[in-house]
Amino acid sequence: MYKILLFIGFILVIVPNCLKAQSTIKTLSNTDYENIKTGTLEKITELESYIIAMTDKAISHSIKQQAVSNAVKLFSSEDNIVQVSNTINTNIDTYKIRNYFNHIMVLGYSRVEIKWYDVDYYTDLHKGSDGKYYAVVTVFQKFEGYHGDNIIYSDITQKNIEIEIDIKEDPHGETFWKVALGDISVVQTR
Amino acid sequence: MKKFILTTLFLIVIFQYSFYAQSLQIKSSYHDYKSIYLKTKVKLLDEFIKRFNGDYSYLGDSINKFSRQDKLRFIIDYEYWQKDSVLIESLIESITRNCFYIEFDKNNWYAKVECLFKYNKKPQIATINMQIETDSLGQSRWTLISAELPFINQNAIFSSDDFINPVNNETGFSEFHKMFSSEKILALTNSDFSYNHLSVFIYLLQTKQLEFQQVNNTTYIFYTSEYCFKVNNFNREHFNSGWLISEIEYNDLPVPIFYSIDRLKLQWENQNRKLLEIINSKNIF
Repeated sequence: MYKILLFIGFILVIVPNCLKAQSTIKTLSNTDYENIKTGTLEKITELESYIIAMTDKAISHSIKQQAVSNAVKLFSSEDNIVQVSNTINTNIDTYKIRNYFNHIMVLGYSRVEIKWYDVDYYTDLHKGSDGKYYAVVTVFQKFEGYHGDNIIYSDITQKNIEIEIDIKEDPHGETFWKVALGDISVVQTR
Repeated sequence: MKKFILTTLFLIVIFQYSFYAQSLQIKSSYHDYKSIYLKTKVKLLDEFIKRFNGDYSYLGDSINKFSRQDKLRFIIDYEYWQKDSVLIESLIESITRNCFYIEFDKNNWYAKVECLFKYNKKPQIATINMQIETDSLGQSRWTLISAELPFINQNAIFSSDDFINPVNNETGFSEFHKMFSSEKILALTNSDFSYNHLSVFIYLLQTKQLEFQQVNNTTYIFYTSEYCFKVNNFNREHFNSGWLISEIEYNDLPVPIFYSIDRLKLQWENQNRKLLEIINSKNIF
């Protein structure tokens, strides 16, 4: 009798734990993948529009500050960093995202033109040890800094942006994906 | 032969461009040229793997006109091609003959990350070898597998003056005071001693003697059954840019170098187990 009770107790403990473990193992369908990809590219487009606003001399400082705050909200944390490398030397400048946006907001050009190439690349999603999914999106940006009508600085950069996808559950038990941006590496192309 | 291969490669690249240009019906302005070369650039390692495996149609359907061999030729550094086209062709032949594909969570590849550190207030370069580890739930993470610290004294130099005499045990190892308080400690080590650089690296970081500055560059090393090849990033403004195969070697090792650490550990554990069995069976104690 004791053995039977022990066995039932064992089953009662093991089965719910197995179910719980199964429910945490999410696999992504192609539709999920495409939805996440679309959601991510929307976030990137949003980030691009904020960067354009931050560097536009015609926009007031308070609106630029708002653009910085909105851009930061796209990231998973204020601690995310932007690493900037160039083709002149091996130095890599590292900024926290808010500092990076503040830095580009006060660039000393009378006018700045930023264009985004219609080239992007989205890596496969990989599940990390914390259960979140991770990917990287690559976009290219052309930057031109003017003094009057003359271009005094111009570059094309490759921006590799980490993406974090977190599985969330709403109050009704439905799962949904929350997409946030992560660290960024900015590589100057020749 | 070399010229023929280079001409073929050049023609392939030109065709690659023209197929794409025709398919988009674009004008040949600077901006369009730039867009196309940015598209052909192997932007991330993920793209390198997909193009290596022939999974990625980065130029739309036009890329499907090429064989796997040709697709592999697109992801080889052309400067290296000029140096060793024979080895490159034999690698391509081996990859296609053996149907070799790169899988992200297999441990036949790793990253060699050259980093800049500050050690004793001086800038020092160290190489950190990282590998993807995937658990049974399919969750992955980069793990440290080894470190190379060239600024750490590599070898114990034996000196006839620096040793503990063979009877010093009888005086309770009285020479420890002399030997342990100086750099002579290395002279005390066994003749086959070498540092475990990973342990040293972790210790120096934990005690804040080593301070990370930045990653200088990353090289990926892949192993097939017959070859190993390196992949580096080339930042160029033309069609042969991004992550490309930069060097090839014959893989004459029975297992990749980084496996040998595990193998030694296993040997050590087996020896210890055998020793325990002997001790237990003979009732030594």
